[in-house]
Amino acid sequence: MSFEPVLTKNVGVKDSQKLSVYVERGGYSSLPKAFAMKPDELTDLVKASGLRGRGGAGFSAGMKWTFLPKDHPGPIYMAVNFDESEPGTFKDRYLCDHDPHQILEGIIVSSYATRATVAYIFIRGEFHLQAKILQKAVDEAYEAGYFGKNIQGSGYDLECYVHRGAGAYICGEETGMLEALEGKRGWPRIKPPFPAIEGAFGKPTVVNNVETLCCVPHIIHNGADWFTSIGTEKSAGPKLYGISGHVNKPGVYELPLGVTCRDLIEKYAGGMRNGKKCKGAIPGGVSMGVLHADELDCPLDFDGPGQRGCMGLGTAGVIVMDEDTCMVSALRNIVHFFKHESCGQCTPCREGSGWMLKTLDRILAGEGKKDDLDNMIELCDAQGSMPGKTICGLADGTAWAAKNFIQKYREEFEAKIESASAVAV
Amino acid sequence: MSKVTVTINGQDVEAEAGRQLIDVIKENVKEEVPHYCYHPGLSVAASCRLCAVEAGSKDADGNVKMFPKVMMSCQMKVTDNMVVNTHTDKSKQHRKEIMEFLLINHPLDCPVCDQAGECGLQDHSYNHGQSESRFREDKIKQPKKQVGEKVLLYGDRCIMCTRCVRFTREISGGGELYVHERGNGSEIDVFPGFGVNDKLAGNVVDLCPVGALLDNEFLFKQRVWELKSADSVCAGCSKGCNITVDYNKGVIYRLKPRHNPEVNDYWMCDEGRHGFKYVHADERIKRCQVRRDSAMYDSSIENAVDSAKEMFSEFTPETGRKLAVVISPMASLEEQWLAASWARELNEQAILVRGPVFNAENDETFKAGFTISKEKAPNRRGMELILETFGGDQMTFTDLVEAAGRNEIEGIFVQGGYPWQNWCPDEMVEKLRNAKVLIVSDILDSKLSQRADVVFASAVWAEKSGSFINDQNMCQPFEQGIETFEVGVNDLTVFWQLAGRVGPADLELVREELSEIKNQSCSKEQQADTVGA
Ligand SMILES: Cc1cc2nc3c(=O)[nH]c(=O)nc-3n(C[C@H](O)[C@H](O)[C@H](O)COP(=O)(O)O)c2cc1C
Ligand code: SF4
Ligand code: SF4
Ligand code: FES
Repeated sequence: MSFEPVLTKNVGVKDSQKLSVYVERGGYSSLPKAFAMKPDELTDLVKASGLRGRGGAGFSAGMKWTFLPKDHPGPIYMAVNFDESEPGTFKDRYLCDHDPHQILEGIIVSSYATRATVAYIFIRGEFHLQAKILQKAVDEAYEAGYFGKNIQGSGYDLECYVHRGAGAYICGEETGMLEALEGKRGWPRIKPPFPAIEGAFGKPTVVNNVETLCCVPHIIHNGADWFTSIGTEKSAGPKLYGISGHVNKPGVYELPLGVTCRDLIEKYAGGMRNGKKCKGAIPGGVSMGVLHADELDCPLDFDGPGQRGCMGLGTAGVIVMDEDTCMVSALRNIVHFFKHESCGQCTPCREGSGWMLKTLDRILAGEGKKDDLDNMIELCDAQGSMPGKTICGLADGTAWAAKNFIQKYREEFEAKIESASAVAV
Repeated sequence: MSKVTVTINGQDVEAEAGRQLIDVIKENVKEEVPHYCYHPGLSVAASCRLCAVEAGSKDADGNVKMFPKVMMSCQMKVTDNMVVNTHTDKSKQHRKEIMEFLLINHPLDCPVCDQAGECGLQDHSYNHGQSESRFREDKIKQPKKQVGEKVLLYGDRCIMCTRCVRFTREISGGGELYVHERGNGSEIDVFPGFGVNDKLAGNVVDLCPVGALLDNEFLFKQRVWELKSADSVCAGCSKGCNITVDYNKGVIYRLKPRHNPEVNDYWMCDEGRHGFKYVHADERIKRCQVRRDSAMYDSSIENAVDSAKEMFSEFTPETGRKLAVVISPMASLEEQWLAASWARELNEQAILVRGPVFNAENDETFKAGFTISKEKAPNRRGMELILETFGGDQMTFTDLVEAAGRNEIEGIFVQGGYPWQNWCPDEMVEKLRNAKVLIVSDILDSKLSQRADVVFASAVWAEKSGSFINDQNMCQPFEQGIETFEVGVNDLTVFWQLAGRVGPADLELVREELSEIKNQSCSKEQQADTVGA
């Protein structure tokens, strides 16, 4: 079965960022179709398509939209998550670089479906160039009547703002993002209430990832059946896979959900660099854990990595590591990231990440102790002190990465500690 | 409010719908569920993650379904058919781990920490922690800094509960405190040039569950286990914040607020908190005094009472001499009552004088509604009630001074008790002195006491039991903490003895005599609940 890319179809087209080029190639044509439907019909369509969130958690988009209060008298907001800060993840940036109007089209039809009247695009602080591209596209779209009052004569009004973050990973967590959007410190909120009930500025708010929203116009065009025909039963549709690390052709690849990790490396990313063997691959951002070289036949859909001890597919930002990689250093690097990015409210996350980093640094400095590994596992295991015990998922990410690395490469960690004790004696 | 039924540790408990689970647990379970970030007077943060319990719900057939994760009891609101188990292995294990986390970067400098003895971290570690830590790394070190004129922060000891931050944002409203940096490097801080200096600042020290925020005025003064406490009411203004007086060997070391939702909630102001210094001032009148010729001599209370009685014996109605008795808004209701009773027994035409009430320019109201009253007297309402009850001849203090200046008043008894020495300016004293007999009961030595014929060494609020009626018309009893210089002497004993009553002054009897008028005119007799947070 041949697969036609849809999300990336404009990549490589000259001036693809321009509205005129986008419209020429069929852009914004889902709008009349959408406006001809009732918002609830549109939501039902998206539900039927099986579209699951591309931001990391994989929650059904259509389902999430139904959590909004019915007949809400005040405003409903759309908050677009473009904070993309998960290490190894660069798909949303790619969409913006090449096709910013596709994002805007997705925002318009999704906002219409959810009766949102204002859309905020929360863009990662470090994305200076993308913020410019996006703002230009928004300005163009306003001028062409795709935002503002009575969009394309539909009677539907939608305002759109680009809001730049200040450079914190935690502002990608949806409630941290809402706090930051309100001008506060990006500390994730306790839930309930969930954003659909009380989100930005205390109003019902839809939070979706950029890629998730980009899928919606295509579903409107091609129908729910088309979408479910792509991918696997529980993981429908096309997906952007970002692959980086020790491969010959790192980059973003649009493929049906469910491609195996091995195919992604071998068939699309040009195989391992310098003919080296693969030692492992992180399936989707470092929070998800790691697939061992023995597990490369794992289908990269929403369930595959989870069945192999990882947390999930995550963002599908795959990081490939070759046989020369020191897994202790790799984990240390990851834990350093989480320690640096923990917002610090929750005791287990704040203290646990710092504790683990110090332990790993000590092991790397040749002063590891035999029980260090078990202690770390005790912190990170399903019944351990960190996962599932905090306000947001960052601590789970830290724990999952550490647990996976230590459990799947235990001999390497032990060898590091033992060689240290040998030196120490 | 509708009621719900919650099953806590197998027992069905009724509670108001929507209350925080942690509060309902506290009221119904003997064994404690520890907490740090939660404070009933602040918004819910649920970030320390200590108050975990297992929770779930029961369906109509009685099938119980529990959440797989431990739940934070401070965050949950009770709902009907909720099922809660507070001391399961899982929840206890979780709390133990949180305690371990909190201690890994804590300096454990308890021997030099002011909080030791009333520290949440000490108590919870002892009750819910473990004696050994798996942590073998270096601890994070953080600086000490002055975050307010009287508020000192020991950054090392902070456990990031953010109570202090929430307080300045939600209650006092200045928002001076914030969290600097993030993650493991988070610190409580203020912006350069700003500090926690408003009149509610001291509350952040009370709120801090560890020894991170300290009151410079209490710093290193006492180990808290040496302190004894008395439930009292602040005399700083007519709001009447419920407080405890913490003292040792006759010395007050600090005042702290007591929870009373209808008066001060969990808070008090720094004017009251730090305003007790005059209690131990050198200028306190320590002994009763009697004038002989032009000099004053220390005297026992009995001797002073006898002298006063003799002088006032010329003021019976038959003599036609005018007698005025000043009722002070600083005195307790019981003292005011006895003073007025004595005066009118002695001479039913005795003039009752409304003692002066000193006012600041304005009330001061903070973000969450806490108001410091401009009326710097705890019992203006009590004074008025007594004057209303006794009726008859009455005048204001200024009128009294003028009348005395015109030689119209021959006998004056001044009940004082103001915490300033010069509350009665010299010119006024001279006019009052025109009277043939001038008797004063006061706490601080002044021109007034120096010019009197008899001086009674009176007691401040912390030295006696009594009641104040606050500006909301609530009658609030308070109990004695420390002793007076002259043991047992206060206005109650003075007027009891002046009235010729036998035996020691009996507060309860006076309260009984008073109860009728009090019940008629006070909105309620307010007893603060002593359960702290
Ligand atoms: C620590 C953390 C960081 C996150 N960062 C991002 C992010 O950068 N972009 C994103 O879309 N979702 C991120 N998420 C997931 C969001 O919380 C949320 O699930 C998502 O934006 C929902 O959109 P979706 O349903 O379309 O995926 C993050 C979650 C966590 C716990
Ligand atoms: S889990 Fe970590 S990052 Fe998330 S809210 Fe808690 S402290 Fe902040
Ligand atoms: S200083 Fe005290 S009250 Fe403030 S966050 Fe730290 S521990 Fe909590
Ligand atoms: S007291 Fe409940 S989480 Fe802190």
